[in-house]
Amino acid sequence: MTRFKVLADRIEMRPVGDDLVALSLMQDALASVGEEPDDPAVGRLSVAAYPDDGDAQSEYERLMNPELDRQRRMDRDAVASVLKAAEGGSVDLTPTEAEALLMVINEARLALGARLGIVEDGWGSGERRTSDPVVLLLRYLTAYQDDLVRALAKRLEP
Amino acid sequence: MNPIIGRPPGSPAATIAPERTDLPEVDERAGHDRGWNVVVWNDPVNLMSYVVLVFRRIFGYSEEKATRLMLEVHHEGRSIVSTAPREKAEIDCYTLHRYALWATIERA
Repeated sequence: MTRFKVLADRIEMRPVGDDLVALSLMQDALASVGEEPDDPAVGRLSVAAYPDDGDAQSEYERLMNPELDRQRRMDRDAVASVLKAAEGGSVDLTPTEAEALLMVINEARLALGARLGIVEDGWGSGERRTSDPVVLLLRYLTAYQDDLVRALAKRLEP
Repeated sequence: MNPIIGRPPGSPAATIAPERTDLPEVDERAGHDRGWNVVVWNDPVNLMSYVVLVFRRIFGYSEEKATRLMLEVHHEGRSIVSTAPREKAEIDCYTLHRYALWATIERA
């Protein structure tokens, strides 16, 4: 089972198993961030650069947050287009699309992890209920992201 | 950080969140500002392999250096990944936030 094949100028994405279902649920999870009051995912995706300096943080947010929001929207739109194309089978990703997919998956994983209250290493084994659909989705996306990371790392090799 | 899903994770280590600390006294006169550190903090959800990839992509670090910094984050709870003038440090921090890493800025 090879999800990604690294080619000279692109990465071939080959959906297997429940990949597209999981990635669709990932999109839903990200779209719902902030819908519920006190959603812990909001804080995890909005890290303060200056946690001990309110003035500096306000200025940083003024300068950076609009661009961060714009870039994240672009990433999610790019992933949505890729996943639509992938409904027909394998799809070629440009480096930009592969990078967008990587970042969107990570945002979703962090959002799910925050909602699950994960605060320690080792969450992937043992006590977490395997019947919890959020845990199952997080595990699936983690395995998927690991495959994508390996593929992108190959592109950095000399 | 979670090493790899579906395989035994690394030894448990509590996540260490950024703590509020008083900024050190710094002589602001020209030539006396030692720059700003960009710090990455441990997060139990991020994959080790992902963090290494991000350090290599953003900073152009070798795999060896990126891995060393990642392990410092994992074991010590934080690592200084770059030191630069404030504007450059903020751009580095922004880029790390783009990858959703837990990054902060502090005086060097």
